[in-house]
Amino acid sequence: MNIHTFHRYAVPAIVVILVASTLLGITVKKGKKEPGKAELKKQEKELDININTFDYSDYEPRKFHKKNNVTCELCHKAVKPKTRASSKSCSWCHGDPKLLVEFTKDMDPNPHDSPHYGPDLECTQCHHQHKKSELFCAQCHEFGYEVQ
Amino acid sequence: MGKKEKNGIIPDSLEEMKSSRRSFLKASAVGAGVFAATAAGISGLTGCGGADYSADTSIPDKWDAEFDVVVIGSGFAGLSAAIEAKRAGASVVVLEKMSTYGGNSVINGGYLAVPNSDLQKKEGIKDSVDLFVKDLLAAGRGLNHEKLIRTIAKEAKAAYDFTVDCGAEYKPKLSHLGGHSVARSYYTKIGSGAGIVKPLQKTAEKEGVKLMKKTKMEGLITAKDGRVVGVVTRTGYTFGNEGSGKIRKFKANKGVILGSGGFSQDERFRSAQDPRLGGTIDSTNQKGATAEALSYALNAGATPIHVSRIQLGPWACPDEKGFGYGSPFNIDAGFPYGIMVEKNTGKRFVNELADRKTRADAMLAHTDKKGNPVYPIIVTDSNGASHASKLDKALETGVVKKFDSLKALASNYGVPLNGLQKSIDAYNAAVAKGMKNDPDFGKPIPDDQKKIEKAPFYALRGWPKVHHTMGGVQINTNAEVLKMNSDDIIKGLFAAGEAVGGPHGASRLGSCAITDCLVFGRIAGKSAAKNDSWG
Repeated sequence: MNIHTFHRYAVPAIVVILVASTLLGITVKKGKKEPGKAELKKQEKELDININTFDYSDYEPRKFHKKNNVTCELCHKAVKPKTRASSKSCSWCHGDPKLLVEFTKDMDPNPHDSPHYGPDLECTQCHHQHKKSELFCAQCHEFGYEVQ
Repeated sequence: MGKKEKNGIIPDSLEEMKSSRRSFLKASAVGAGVFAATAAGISGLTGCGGADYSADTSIPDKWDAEFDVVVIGSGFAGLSAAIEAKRAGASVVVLEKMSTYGGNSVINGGYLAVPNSDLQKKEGIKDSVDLFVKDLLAAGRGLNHEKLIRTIAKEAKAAYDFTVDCGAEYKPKLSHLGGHSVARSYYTKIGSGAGIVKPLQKTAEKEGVKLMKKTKMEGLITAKDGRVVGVVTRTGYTFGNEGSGKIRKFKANKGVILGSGGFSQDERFRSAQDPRLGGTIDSTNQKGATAEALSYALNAGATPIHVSRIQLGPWACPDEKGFGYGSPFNIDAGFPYGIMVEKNTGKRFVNELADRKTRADAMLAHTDKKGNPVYPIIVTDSNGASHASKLDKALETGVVKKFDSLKALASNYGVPLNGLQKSIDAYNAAVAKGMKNDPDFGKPIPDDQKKIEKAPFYALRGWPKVHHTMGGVQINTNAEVLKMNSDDIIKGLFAAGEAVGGPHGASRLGSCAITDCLVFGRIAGKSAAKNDSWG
């Protein structure tokens, strides 16, 4: 099984489960309640952005995430995000980064286990969600990898 | 910074969106008044900075965080300083401005020079502190601060042991790098500086050092008497997005240690020092190697040393980015066991194992009438190539090419075969006679050199790249930063590694940087922890 086949089925499967459990009123283990009015006001003060008027349409998810209906909330833990998503969010669907090392072990060099950074690079270092992805290694190397 | 997509620029973050909105509003006369009032109101509420992001380095009423020792940079110097400071009882934080730890320290070749090492004893190599110092002074053209290099020489073995103790692993054979009289360089097993940094990082974290990435220092905070008492930082900063992150002020009770590296990637500052080094020449460094930390230290009164001495790595290849696979091939095989020749004549023109400045300057001299490079060619045979650690990668990427005959090799690069053959024959004659140095350029011929004659042959094009900045702030042997215009130190300010100027003089010897960083990093950590607390 290659990485694409896995993700093609894993993500929609998980999304379906999340949606189903929400409908059934079961709280997903790592899910978050939508922030209340007081919390929103606090966030607004911190970042000087009024989330009621902020234009979120510039921040559509890209490609596979959009196709699989991955919402802002899944990664940003907020329906109307104020901050960047942490790479921890990626693990919820895509698994432990250490397992990712296994997945791409036949690639040489293994982008998820480089001699310089090991498995410690954040996912979002390469896999950008609101703009074109960039291969971090390409700053110095020419491996010819295409990163999704 | 951001790419144009759909209906406008998509910024890297909401912070960038905010800053671009602010500059738009500033431009309009009406908006300016409203904006200023809003900004003042909001900054009053949240303590955010004002509309522009130039750092206010005044001592705050309330600090955002307090530590005994604040270390800038998470490379060899920063991490070793942090570990030693922690072990001496200080509370320590390491600030790293990039999104990854390790800076240049994780991407370099991983060679560490140690005079009088156990491996030298095992290999029967005679070395000494004096010989090491002699080699550094020769490469540095005598500009080196000798007290500092004596310290490096004397403490090198202890620094090596320190890394091994933290978990670093090295290959069982020493390397002989250009400019060294004898083989004295350890090489990490993994073939990169990460083989030292990662163990140091793990050790630092395990022993209670706090590490913060995406945290950029934007100024040193000094007391009225000039003592450095804290730093201005941006937390949640993204490199390339200069307005990003939140301004905070961290108190440093005992000291701030600059392990902030060099400025090889700072095109503006480097080309101001050396006009050859504008945007057309590549660099081996990570993108964050810029000069702002140096500027803050100079603002605090530090003495600048050798700032225009910028080193180019002569082993680089113009057919790939950065350090790549060509460089290790040249270092392991091409330069020690092969020869480098001019494209137009096939003649050698420099000692392939001379110090970096000698080689780089000699290579850069090969330009055509328009000033474009005429890349020299490095040639070796199978015997020579057997020493290369990353030959398969170099061949795969096409940076190094394999040929069945010298004729095919010469033809491929447009080098006259006669000229090339003559050069090889002359070198082989020296090898056959068992000479220690070749008679034409004085290259020290390795003991295990065989004649260059066994097919297939290997070759690549060479051209220097900006690699290391010898200059920086002046320190004494306690890693205390020295004030200009007086004999005093700047209390509370320490520095180690590439941020310092002096040890390497006009040109650094390969594998001496890591030794320098570790030795003075450890000294800086100990000195800072020993310092009296402020406030």
